[in-house]
Amino acid sequence: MNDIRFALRQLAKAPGFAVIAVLTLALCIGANSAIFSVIHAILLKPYPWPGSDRLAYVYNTYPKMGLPNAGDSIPDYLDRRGITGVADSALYTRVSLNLTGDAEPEMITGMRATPSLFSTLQSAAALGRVFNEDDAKPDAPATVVLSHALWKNRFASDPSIVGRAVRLNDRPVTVVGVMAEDFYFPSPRTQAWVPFAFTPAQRGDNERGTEYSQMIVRLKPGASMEGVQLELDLVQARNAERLPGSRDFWKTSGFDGRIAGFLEQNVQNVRGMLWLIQAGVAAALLIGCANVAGLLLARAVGREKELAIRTALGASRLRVVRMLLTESLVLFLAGGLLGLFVAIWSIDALQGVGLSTLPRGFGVRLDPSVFGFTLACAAAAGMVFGAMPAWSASRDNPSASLKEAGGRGSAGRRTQRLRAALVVAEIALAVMLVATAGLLIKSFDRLQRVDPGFVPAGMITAQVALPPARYDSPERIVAFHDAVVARLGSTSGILSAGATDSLPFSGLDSSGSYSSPDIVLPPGAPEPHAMIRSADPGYLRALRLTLLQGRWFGDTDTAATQPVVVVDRVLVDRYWKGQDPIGKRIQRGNGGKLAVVVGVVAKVKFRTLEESSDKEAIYFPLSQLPQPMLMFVARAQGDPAALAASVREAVRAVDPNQPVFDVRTMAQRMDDAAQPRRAPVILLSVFGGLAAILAMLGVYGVLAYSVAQRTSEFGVRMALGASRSDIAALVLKAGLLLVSLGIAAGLAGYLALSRLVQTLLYATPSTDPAMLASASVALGLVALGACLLPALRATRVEPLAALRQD
Amino acid sequence: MPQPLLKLDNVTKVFLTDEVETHALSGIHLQIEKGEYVAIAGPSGCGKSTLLSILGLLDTPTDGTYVLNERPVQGLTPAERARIRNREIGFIFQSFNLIGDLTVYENVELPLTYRGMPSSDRKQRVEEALEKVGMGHRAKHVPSQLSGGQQQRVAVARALAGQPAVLLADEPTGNLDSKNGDAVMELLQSLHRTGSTILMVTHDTRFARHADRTVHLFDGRVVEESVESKE
Repeated sequence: MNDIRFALRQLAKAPGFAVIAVLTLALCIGANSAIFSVIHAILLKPYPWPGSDRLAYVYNTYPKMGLPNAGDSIPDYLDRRGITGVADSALYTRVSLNLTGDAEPEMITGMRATPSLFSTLQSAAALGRVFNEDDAKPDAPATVVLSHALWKNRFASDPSIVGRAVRLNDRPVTVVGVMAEDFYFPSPRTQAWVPFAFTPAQRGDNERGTEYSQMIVRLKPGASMEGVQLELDLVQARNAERLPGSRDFWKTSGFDGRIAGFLEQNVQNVRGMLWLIQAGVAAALLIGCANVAGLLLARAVGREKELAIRTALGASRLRVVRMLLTESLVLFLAGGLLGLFVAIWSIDALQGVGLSTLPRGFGVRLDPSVFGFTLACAAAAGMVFGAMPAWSASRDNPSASLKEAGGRGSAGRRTQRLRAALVVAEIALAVMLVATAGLLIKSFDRLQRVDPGFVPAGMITAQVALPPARYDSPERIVAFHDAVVARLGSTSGILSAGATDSLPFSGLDSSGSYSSPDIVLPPGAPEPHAMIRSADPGYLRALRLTLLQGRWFGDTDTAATQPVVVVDRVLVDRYWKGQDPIGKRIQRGNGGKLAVVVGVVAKVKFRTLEESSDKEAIYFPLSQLPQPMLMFVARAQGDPAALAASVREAVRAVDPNQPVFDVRTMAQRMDDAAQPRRAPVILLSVFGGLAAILAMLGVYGVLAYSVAQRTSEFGVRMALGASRSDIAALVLKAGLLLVSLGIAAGLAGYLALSRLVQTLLYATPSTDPAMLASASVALGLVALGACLLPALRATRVEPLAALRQD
Repeated sequence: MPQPLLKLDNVTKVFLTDEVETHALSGIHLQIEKGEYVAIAGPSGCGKSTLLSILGLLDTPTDGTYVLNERPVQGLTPAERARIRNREIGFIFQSFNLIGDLTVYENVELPLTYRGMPSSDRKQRVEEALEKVGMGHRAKHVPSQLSGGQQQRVAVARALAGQPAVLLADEPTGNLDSKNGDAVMELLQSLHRTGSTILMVTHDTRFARHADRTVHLFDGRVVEESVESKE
């Protein structure tokens, strides 16, 4: 307790030092806590369902067709749910639900799920009940389970909601339950669950390949993923034996079931990026701690005499170390506590750089484990970085210190060496951070210059999901589409309008097998598989796709005319290279009408700008392949965001009960898609900048301290004939030596870790010499700037005054 | 007619502290011939060190003229003063003022490096100077490995290495015990015998007797000059 009291008194005696040290630590520890909050929420925290570590996805996989994770068909699900390693399983698929009634029509995000979803997640309703098997019979009355948020916001937390009918997709549906506030599946955006009813036809083998659903399983205690995978292989082998007609396709495509851990699968795309950001902020913390340790070392030298007196009075070395450690711990813990506030603020700021759009990013908040992490960080940093000055100061010879004027003894020299080593480490870490940030910026810049295959600027997009009850025929869908597009086309400020079922960067996409009498596959080659899209005549102009050959769809392409398709360049290059693709024939799957290829468009990037272009796309006219899920696209004359109301109005004018949702400009969609790459660019740039500033302060601190220590030496040198420029050169040389060592160590450290960085770069080598040189030069210049002031101060030393100090 | 090596004419030094004028030196006239060994003696605070600082171009007089080697030094730029200090003056300090991070050899070499002398020439000068003070065998040691007397001998070697016109010694025995003090005085004596011009500040009359002439200061004025008989 005495040590703590004394430590507080010492800090109060040097408020400038205390404030700088605590603020540096608060900034660094707070940033670490904020990033760790993200890591914790996304990578480490279990899901809110009991035993979520035993949950896994089961996919259909077609590795030889480039489809590692396809959805599951109903018969696949039925085959696999009996696997002995699986305790429970469920099948679910996303469904859009038009919620109508007294209030404004609202499109809600729903999930069609087997009743076993809730038992698989081991979750019960907070109000009423979840589905049972009777609810999932094809002729059962329609039921729905509401999320807590929907119940609260739309139904004002009405406790009598259970048993009441609401209108979903123009049908009365009975609410059977409301889930607990903390329940969600698969994401908090899901607002309602409706039963997944299988018709006898859907259960049959003919439905294999209809893979729009997702299967989730809960492993039995003790069951392993490897064991379940073996059972999946066995199920597939039995099916291949039983269904000879599919055997060749399955063989050529490498078809099987594939199990993947639930958490692992959800976060695998962001794991590397998040750990890189954590490494970056940890480096900034180390630099900050090194700076504070440097300040502590300098203070310890100033207290050489005090420590000598304590030792002379009988304090053991351990006792002195304990006292100094207590001081540093108090300092670091104060930094840690203040860091918590920085973390709270930083987490809000992180939403701005898009981390909340990452998988599980919605759950980012400070919680007790993060609080614990912050304090542990502070305590560990205090112990490690406080131990150095404490140990160094306690090593001094007390009798020598008592005789010396103080500050220029052996401790001073030893301290200076330690501080110099810390600064070299700081510069090294800063070089690593700045080089990484620079490469990420370069990579991001290159990515932003990638041609997506259309012109994103000036586009507004909006989605509708036509309810099957009201739009129960292709003709009705087409009529709705035609009316909306006609209205959009006549709206002032809209240059062109169109629609599709699969818009780039909307998350909507579909794929399927196709065949062609004009494609000759080599023996053993997998069946062709493409992205399948429906689009209308206005789509080409609205997106400004590049038509390479032939024509796009016209109003004359109707359900009654010759089926036609437009293919992309990837398909042509794959199967008809050197041939004229116009007039070739294609059919979806292995049956149906043959469509004639009438045009070729350039490849369009669909999910991200960095996606590889090895998957072909086939466009069908919306009139010939109408879809209930439609994305309307309008190219604006001016600001596209200003047209949002017009787009809503156009839909409402055609069908007042049809909600419009996901109204966003294309630029916003692409912006969101770029978030996983933009976030590390922004964050590592911030940390790189912070690291550079801290390293600069470190260099300045060491040199300023060194100049103060060497005042009399400079006096001697000047008395011996050194000019002021000689003295400045001496200081600059010492600074540049530290900087050079730091840069060399930083480059070596970076090169050792460059493979990790490579995984986050696009079209940029992680060892790009120009960028590494730029980072080194930038750090060198910053550090040189830090050297100038002490060097200037050294030249102002008056030799006579300096000599009198002795 | 040969000019004196050092010539001070009516030199005054006034320090201003908190609006209080302190006359450290008042109307000093002093001439030192080449090859002379002069002691400046007086009680503490009489202006001895201030006088030495002015003579060593570490400080400037408030008034009066100072001619060193036939060259008036008023109005010289700091760079010119540094150059003259380096070539014409050798300092020996009371507290040795060796640089702790440099070896004995490097300490002695230091003034020669500021002169831009080639390395081979420096080596020869340093070795000669160290041999002259009997410290050649300690060239690779650092100052903390030497006794006080040895450190002062290295400081003398450093002052000698540049072959200056004059050696300025400020209480060279002040930090030494009597045995080492005597040894350093003998060293200065032998340097004087080989032609060095030496100006030594001391408050110890016992050591002042080693010089040819003693200038007594009191309250910033020369109050007496005495010549030692060398029988």
